[in-house]
Amino acid sequence: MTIGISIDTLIIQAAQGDLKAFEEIYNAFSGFVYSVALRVTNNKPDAEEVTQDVFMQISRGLKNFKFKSSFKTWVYRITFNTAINKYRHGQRERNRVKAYENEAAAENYYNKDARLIDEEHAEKTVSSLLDKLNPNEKSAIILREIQGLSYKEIADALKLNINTVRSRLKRARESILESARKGVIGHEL
Amino acid sequence: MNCKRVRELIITDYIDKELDEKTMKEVEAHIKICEGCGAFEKSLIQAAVEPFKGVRDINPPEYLWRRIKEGIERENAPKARWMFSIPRPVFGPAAIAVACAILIITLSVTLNSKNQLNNYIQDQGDFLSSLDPGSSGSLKNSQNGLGTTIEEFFS
Repeated sequence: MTIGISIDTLIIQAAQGDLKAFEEIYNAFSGFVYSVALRVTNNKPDAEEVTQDVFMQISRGLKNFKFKSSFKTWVYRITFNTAINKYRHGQRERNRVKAYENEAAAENYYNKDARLIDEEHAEKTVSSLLDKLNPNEKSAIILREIQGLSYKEIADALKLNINTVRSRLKRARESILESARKGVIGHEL
Repeated sequence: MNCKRVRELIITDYIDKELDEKTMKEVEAHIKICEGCGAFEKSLIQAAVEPFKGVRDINPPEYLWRRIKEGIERENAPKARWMFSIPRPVFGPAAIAVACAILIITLSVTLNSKNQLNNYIQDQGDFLSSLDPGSSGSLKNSQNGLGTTIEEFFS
């Protein structure tokens, strides 16, 4: 996330109604928000809805943002809370859309270049791994493995103590190892 | 440090580089001499760490920003709030005035319809009386008799 003007300046300007400043914030964080939403909910329409919802919450909350915690941590927290809520409330619909997306992806497979296919394969592997986890374990793994946050940063973002973060990561990795041993992940791909 | 403890550390703090230097070295030393823990570390990295390495953030579709922007503009637009700009003390007297007006309208409609009914009955009575040639044309007069032959016979 590289921003020309400092994020604090953008926050102040956006809080005063400057939409251009808010767009800069959106450009800096939308990739993260959308990726988390997509990985937690596992379907595009829900991920779009979550992203929209997260940025609407950010827009409303900017006026009251006190700079006591890091903006990034605040965005992480809103994103995970919104995405997990969406995941919990939309399980049935999720399965239906996922089936449709898999069909569409299979149709497009032969029209893509090698790099895109590699990226899609990596994304599918990750999606398949995350599918084995519950939302809490998923959040911890995403923040650790994809965003590269330390235990302390994950604890701050999810409002947990460090030992809870540690035990969620442990359970998540045990589940992934177990699936790998059974060959579940390999067969799904 | 026994294997159970080492594996607990491998699956979390060791792999995530959260250990202090001394413990880190102890775990490393154990892995070098313990085949089982070494294999555990390898399989863990292969299954639960490596797959996440090549993954990047995915950008949302472009139309999403337009949707969000429209949503923010809608929320920030001044709303038509004339109803709520009326000071609260006005609401009481206004409500009483409206209630009085409704009462007056209801009563006037009721009274009007009663007068119309009375007039209708009167008209119908007059009409029936006018059909009888012996009558003087009023229902009141018919109380003294209709002046027919049969009446004269019994009188």
